[in-house]
Amino acid sequence: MWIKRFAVYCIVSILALVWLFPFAAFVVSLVKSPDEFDVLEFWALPSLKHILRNLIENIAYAWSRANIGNNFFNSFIYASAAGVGSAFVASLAGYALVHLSIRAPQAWFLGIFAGNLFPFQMFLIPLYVFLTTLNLYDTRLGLTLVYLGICVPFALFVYRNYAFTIPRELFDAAKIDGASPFDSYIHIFLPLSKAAFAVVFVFQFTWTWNDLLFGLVLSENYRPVMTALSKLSGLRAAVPVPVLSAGALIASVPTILTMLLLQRFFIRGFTVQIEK
Amino acid sequence: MIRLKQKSPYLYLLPAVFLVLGAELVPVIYTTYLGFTKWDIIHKPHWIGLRNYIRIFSAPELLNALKNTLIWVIGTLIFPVGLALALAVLINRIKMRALFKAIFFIPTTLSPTVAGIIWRRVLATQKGAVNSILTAFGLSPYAMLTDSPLNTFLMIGAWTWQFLGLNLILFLVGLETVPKEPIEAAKVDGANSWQVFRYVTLPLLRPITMVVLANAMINTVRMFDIPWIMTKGGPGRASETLAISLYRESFLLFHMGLGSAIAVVISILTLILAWRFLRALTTT
Repeated sequence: MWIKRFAVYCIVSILALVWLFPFAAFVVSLVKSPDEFDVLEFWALPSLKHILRNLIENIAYAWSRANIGNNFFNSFIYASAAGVGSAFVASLAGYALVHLSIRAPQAWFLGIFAGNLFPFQMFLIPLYVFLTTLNLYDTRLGLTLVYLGICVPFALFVYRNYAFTIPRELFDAAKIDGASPFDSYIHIFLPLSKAAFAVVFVFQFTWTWNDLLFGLVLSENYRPVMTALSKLSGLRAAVPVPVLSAGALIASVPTILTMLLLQRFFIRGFTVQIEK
Repeated sequence: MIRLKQKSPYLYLLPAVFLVLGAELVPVIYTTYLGFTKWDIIHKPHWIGLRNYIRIFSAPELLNALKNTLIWVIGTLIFPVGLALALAVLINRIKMRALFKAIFFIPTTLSPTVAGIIWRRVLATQKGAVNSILTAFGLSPYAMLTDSPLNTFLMIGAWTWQFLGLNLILFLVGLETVPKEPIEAAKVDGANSWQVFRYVTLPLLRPITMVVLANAMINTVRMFDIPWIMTKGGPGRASETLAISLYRESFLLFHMGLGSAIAVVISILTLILAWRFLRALTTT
């Protein structure tokens, strides 16, 4: 049997090396100065003491001269607002659908969740028209509202699933003690649905942060970071390659950190779909 | 106000309904309508019936985009999904699981945009990672990203690199919940490892497989980021996916009606391809 095991290790290790190869290419394009990148061989590295200096200079160039810092800030607003906002809106709706008396709660749920069944391209042209008409094209408010709206259906799906796990008796007891539905929402539902918040926030923050298409269509001066990066990577290269790599690194820090620290909530966003 | 709060639970639904109507449901109806019109965004939309749809299924560049999108779908089923399943089964029985899991998952923490930027450097003709190795061996550099259909397959490779890790983790989570007894029983009955996988493990993995497939289909049919970064649909329009055609027709050529019709085709294609898996998720 050891041959079989050895073969498995070989296959998996070779594939792992293939997976690491692009990172190696990324690193050698990141630690050279723009001049060194033009002059040296692709795989050649500059001297060790230059590496740190080049790295800092490339990052500084990308952050300020190439304006990635501003776009980073924009994306931070969009992704945080979409993450927190969609969780809040969905928590209200999920609470009401499961624990308040609403007629045909299943129909309401499906109506709201229907938004999730269409690919984003289906919303793109009308949203461009709406935002232009409302004078919200290329504003932080306009993009925030769009991201928020798109994040709501799945957030509701998660909150509704969690709402079912909170026993009805808790709300009945609170009602007997004279608590209003809103009191129960604040003091019982919200504290008991913290896990739903974590799942929704991580999932929707990551999605919004990584979005390219809506940013491309709906913004010009208030671009999110991925859209700005795609402009910098355009064929008429706007910045030297090492600076583009530095920009890509900066743009990836928030999602790398999120995944490192909160990966299990992200994965829950998928597995929650098969729990009943 | 307090009475209103108590009397009307529907108020709790209001923000969600308002946002979803504005950002999604009204746009869906509007896009469907625009798909039957010719509209340059300056003048009024002008009803032309099915002409946009006839155009999609007859214009060579749009038929080609449809074909490319289907290649993306098949490629996704084989690589980031199929390979992830095979890898999950292999990794699940070896010791250094955590290390391999981490290596394959790192690209998933990056956005498709960043993955596209990294892979463009890997495949670039001038100062590219692969081509500089080729030239070191005395071969001449090859312009891979402007060779269609090769570039579509290379982009599916970049997509695999970015997307496989997520599916791998999901399959590993699924494998953890698979009970040991039926597998042991099948082995005692003399089943070989392929039979154990095919007739015991795979059926037990069905729920997570449905999640993976639904997510993969939805994300692939609307594929925009990676081809936009790596080839812009080029050379010419040779490697366009439907999502790129939509963007080009609507926002670069201002054929908003045709773009809307393409959006409808993307939606229908998604529903056809993901319907089985979505239904399995909502009914089981």
